[in-house]
Amino acid sequence: MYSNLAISVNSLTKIYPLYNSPKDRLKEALHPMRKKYHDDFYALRDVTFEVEKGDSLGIVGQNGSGKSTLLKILSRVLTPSSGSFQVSGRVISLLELGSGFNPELTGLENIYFYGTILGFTKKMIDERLDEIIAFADIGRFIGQSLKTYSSGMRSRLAFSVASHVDPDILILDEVLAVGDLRFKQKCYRVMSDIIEKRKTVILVSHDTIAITNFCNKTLWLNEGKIQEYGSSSEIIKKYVGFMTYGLETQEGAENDREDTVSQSGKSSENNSNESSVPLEQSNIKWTGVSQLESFGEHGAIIKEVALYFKDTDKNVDVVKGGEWLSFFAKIIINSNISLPGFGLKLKDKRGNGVFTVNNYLYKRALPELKANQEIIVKTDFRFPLLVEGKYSLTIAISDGDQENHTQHHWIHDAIFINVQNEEPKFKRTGNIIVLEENDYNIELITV
Amino acid sequence: MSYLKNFYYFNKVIYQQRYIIRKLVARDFQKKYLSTYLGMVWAFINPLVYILTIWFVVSIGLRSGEGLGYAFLPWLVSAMIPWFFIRDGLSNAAGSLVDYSFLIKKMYFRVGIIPLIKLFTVLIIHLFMLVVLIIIVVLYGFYPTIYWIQIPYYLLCALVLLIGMGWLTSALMVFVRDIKQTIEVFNTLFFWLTPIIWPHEGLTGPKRLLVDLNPFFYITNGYRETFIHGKWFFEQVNLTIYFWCVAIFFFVVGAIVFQKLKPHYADVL
Repeated sequence: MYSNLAISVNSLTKIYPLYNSPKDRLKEALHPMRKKYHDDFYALRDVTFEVEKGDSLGIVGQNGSGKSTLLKILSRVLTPSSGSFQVSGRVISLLELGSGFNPELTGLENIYFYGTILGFTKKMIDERLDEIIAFADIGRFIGQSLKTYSSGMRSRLAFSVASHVDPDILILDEVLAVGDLRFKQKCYRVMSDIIEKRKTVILVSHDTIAITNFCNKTLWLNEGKIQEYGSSSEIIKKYVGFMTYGLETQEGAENDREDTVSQSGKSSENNSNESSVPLEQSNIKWTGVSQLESFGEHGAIIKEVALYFKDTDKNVDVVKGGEWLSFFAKIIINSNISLPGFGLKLKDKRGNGVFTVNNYLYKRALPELKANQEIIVKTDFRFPLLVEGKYSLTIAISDGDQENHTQHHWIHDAIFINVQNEEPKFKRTGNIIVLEENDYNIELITV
Repeated sequence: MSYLKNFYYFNKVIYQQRYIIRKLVARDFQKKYLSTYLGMVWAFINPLVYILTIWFVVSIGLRSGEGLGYAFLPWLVSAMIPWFFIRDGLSNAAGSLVDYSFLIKKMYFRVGIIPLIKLFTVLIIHLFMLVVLIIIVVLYGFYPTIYWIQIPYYLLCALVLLIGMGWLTSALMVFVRDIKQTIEVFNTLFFWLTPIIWPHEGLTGPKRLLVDLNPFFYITNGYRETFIHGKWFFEQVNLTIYFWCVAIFFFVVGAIVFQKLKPHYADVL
C-alpha cells in the first residue's frame, strides 16, 4: 500500500441473505443438498475507491444506499462478503449516537470506558481528560449518569472523546446532526485540525452544504454501487439535482466552460470604456450553455445566455457590487408551458447559495408559452455587495408554481461573475456579504 | 505454535482491557441487583434457600442422609456451591453475546472477552459463596487443613471448562436462540445426574462409569474431597487426566467455533 493512501477499498461487496421466514434460515442450514432458501440483497456491490491521507471524504446517498454498511466495514464491525480493504493507522468511528457508551455510568466514567474500548490506557486518557471535558462542555452533567443526558450532550461527549484520541482516520455517521450550531462549528474546526495533520476524516451526512464546505472529495452511493466519486462541488451538484428532481445530471464539458468565461472576460475588457450605448437585441453576444451540466424534462431548453450591465452594451465579467445587471436567456420552447417560471440562483465558490430570484417567489407572472418557438427572457437585478471572489449563476426554467413544478431545464453554473473591489471591506474572506454604507452606523455615546 | 501465540495474545488483551472488564462486570451487577431493595443479598438468598430446601427434604422429609458418616449439611453444601458456579456460569455465558450486542453491532470490540465478563460476574458471587461454605463447614467442625490449598486449582478447572463451553454456547446462541432453553434443561438434568445430593460411593460398573465421565463431577467432588474427605486431586490420576482432556477439548473447540462464527455476529444480532 502506498504510504500516502489512507484507505484503499477493492471491489467490496456485502450481501445479506433475505429469508422469507426464520424457518427458511434453519432449513437452509440443515439442508443436505445445500439448497438455497434465500434471496441475496446487495448492500454494497463491487465498491472500489481510494482515499489519500489528508483528504476528507463525504459520503452521500439515499437511505438504504449502503453508506452505513460501508462505514461499518471500514470500522471492522461488519465483515465484507467479498472484496478487500486496507486502512492505515488507527480508525476511530462514531457510527451511531452514543454507541459504546454505557448508560449506567457517569459521563466521566464513560470517558474512561469508551476511551479504553478505543484502545487507550487509563494513563493516556488521564492526560487528555481536561481537554475532553472542556471540549464537550456539558457542565456539571459530567458527573451524572448518561441516562440523564440529552441526545445533543451524548453526541458532544462522544465526539469529544473520539476526536481527542489521535485518530488516523475519523469516521462520523450523521453524529453531528443533533449538535447545536455552535458545537458543529467547533467540531468542524477540530476536524480541520485533524486533516491538517494529514489525517483523514470520513463524514456521512445528508447536509450537502456541510459536505461541500468541509470535504474535498465525495462518494455518492446509490443502491450499493458507486454512482460518482470525485471532487465534492461536482458530485454534490449532481446529487442535489438527482435528489430534488430525480433526474440524471448531464456531464458538462469542463474545458469549454473555462474558455467561455475567459472569452467573456476579454470582451468586457474591450468594452470597458465609459460610453454607455443602449443594447440592441441583435447585438447581444450570446454564450452557448448546451455543453454545461444540466438536468430537466427538456420541455424547454435554454440555449444561450448573456449578462450585461443594465441599459448598456457592456458585457459583464467583473463587478464591484451594487450595479444593476441584465441577464438574457435564449430559450427554445418544445412543449406548451402554462405557468412558466424562470429563475436565477447566485452561488459562491463553495456552492453556498447567496440569493435566488424567480418570478414565482416575487409573484411576477409570465404569459403562457406555446410550443415550437424561441423566446428571450430578460432578468434585471441589482448585484448585491459581496466579498471578492468568483460567483456563479445557476439558471432554470420550469412550469407550475413555487411548491409544485416541472423542472424543464436546470443549468448549473451557467455563467461566472468575478467580484473585484479595492475597498478592504470586500476582502474579508470567510464572509459572503458586505453591508452598504447606509446600513451601518457607529457612534460614541458618552455617559 | 500459533495456538500458543494466540493464547498469549488473548491473555495480553484481557490485561490491557482490565478497566473495561471491571466496568462491565460492575454493570452486570448493577443491572441484576441495583434496582432491588435487597440488592446483592439476592445473590445469596436464592442459592441458600435452595440448599436449605434440599437439606429439609432429604434429612427431614425422606429421613435419609445419615448413612454418610458425615453431617449432611456441610457435605451437601460443599458440592452444591461449586455446582451453582457451574450452573450460573453456563447459563450466563451462553446469553452473553446477545446481551452485549451493543458492543458488537456499533463498534469494533474484542468480542472474545464478552463471555468472560459474565463468567467473572459469576466468579465473584462464587467467591462470596465460598466464604459462606467455609463458615458452614467450620461450624460443623471441619477446620482448615492443608487440603484447602487446592481450592484455587479446582477454581481453575471450573473456569477453563466454563470458558470453552461459554464460547461455544454463546456463539451458537447468536444463531439459534433455542440454546438458552436447552441449557436450562441440561442444567436440571446434570444437577440430578451429578452426585451432588446423593453419594457416588459404592457405585460400580457402568453406573460408576456414567458418573466418572461427567466432567462436572470432577469439580463438585473435588470441592467435597477438599473440605470433607481430605484428599488430593492427584490421588485420582485417571480422572484428572480425563477431566483435562475434556476441558481442553471444549476450550479449543469453543475457541475455534467462536472465531469461525465471529464475522457473522454483527450481521445476525
